Amino acid sequence: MSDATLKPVATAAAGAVAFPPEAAIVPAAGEPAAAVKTTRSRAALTGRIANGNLIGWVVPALIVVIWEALARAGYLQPNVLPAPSAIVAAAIRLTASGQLPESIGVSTLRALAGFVVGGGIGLALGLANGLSRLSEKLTDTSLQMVRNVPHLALIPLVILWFGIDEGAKLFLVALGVFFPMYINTLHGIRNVDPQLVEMGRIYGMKQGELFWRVILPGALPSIFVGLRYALGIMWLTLIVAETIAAESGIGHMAMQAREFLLVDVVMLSIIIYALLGKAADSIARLLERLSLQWHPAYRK
Amino acid sequence: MAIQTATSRRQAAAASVYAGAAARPQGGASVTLRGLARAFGDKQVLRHVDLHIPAGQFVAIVGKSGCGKSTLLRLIVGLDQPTGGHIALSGAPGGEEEPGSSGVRIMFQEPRLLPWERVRGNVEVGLGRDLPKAERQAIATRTLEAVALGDRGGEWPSVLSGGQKQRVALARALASGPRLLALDEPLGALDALTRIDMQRLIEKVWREQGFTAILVTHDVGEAIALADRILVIDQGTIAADLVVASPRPRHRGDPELAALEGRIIDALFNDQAAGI
Repeated sequence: MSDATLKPVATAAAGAVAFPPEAAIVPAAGEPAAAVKTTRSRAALTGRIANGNLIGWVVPALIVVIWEALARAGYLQPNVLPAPSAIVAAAIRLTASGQLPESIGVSTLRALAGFVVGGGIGLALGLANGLSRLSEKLTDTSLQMVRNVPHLALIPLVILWFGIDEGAKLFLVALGVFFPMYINTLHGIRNVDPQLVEMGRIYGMKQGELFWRVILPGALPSIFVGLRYALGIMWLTLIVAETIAAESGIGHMAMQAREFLLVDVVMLSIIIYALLGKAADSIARLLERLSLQWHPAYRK
Repeated sequence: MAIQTATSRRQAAAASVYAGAAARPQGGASVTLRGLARAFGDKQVLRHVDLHIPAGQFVAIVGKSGCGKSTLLRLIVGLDQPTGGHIALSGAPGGEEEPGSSGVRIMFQEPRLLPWERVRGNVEVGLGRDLPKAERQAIATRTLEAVALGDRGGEWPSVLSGGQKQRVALARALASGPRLLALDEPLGALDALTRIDMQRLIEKVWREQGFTAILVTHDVGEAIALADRILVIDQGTIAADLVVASPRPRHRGDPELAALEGRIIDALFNDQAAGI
């Protein structure tokens, strides 16, 4: 990018040939135009990037470009940090062999299963304890004690209990996801405006209607905070569990590649985890935007 | 202008004096309190209040902060239970009106709209779940038109101004056609001009629908502009009971009303108030 910025007319063609990704970012540099025109069209592009959701991708794209450049220039050892193009090649290779789609499928299924179990129990207990003082008195103290044990510290125990079967991963993910869902749901229910609850009662709402029309919508923003936090913990727990003990999945793929010194596959695994995490977060944000349209903070 | 004064003991007996209110449409509920008392722990907030409000009357309750006027209102609408005495609400056809039923509505200082329901949905809250959806929507739209918000039904409450939100709250309270509307300082948080607008609106719907209105307010001017009758509450009892006979619509700055306002304010700050 730097070449084209400094001397747009002279180096435009050379820059486009040397760096295909850069040509994609600065298409205007390819035409033999005056510096003024180039600047203007680049300003238009910058505007388009800033307006859309593309702006978040500028920095990662830049890092990849620099990384590729350094690798091609020979500054990075392929057995330490392979070039992005080598990682893409590994992705294509493993997709063709079927190993990559299978691993992603297995890991995603595990993550979702643990999330549904742990998140579901967390949500249910959060609602129960938020709505009923008796339920809270009965369970909250115990839950708070268990919460202070880092769930990953249970790995040795979990392996003794479940071996390295699916049960072990499901248990760990469910446990990790449980607490953020529980605490944020409880917090959300507790912080529903009591004036609105009183209004609902005065207007003759029965318990069920009061819950669906006043309490649950009021707690929803907080529940979504718990959901997004839980999704983060879900991937983290799964990565640790799969890396330590697994016979399939992305973590297993990475550990296997380590034994054969396939650094590109290890890097690929890490990137896949990052993308899966980002995808889960994006879905949660979309749900949040759809169900919290009334909230001024979520309106565009 | 006729000013009638009565001590709290004579309230029930004096009820027939307010017979003028009966000329209004038969939409209101009458309210009768006998020996009503409410204590919070050792603190006696209301002591032995006797009061009769005939159907369709517009009553304003004024008093200093902490005098028990909001407590009185909450007792009447059934939001709180008395520690002594009893309350009877009866509708125009003669039936008993249960506190908390659709015949009794209250409006607060805050609009208390559900932020996650559209304006029309919020008005529909006032109709309960018994009517079919289409009918509820039709009534909500009509009620919104009555408060001059007919075109805002599809909006979120968060985009409305404070005065508009309070108008939606009024529409919600009116949607079910209540026979008693309790107003707990509903205009306290509004600016002076919006408040005058809202006072006119409340007076207009009260005249059209003929419900009994009980307005608790700090603002003596507001009480005089709207009410048939003003109760001054002091130290848990009714210290003064005044009839405002001035014809409607009343004009601000009318010297007679100003004189009355001065007397009520004197009563509020003078322990011998009952004698005015």
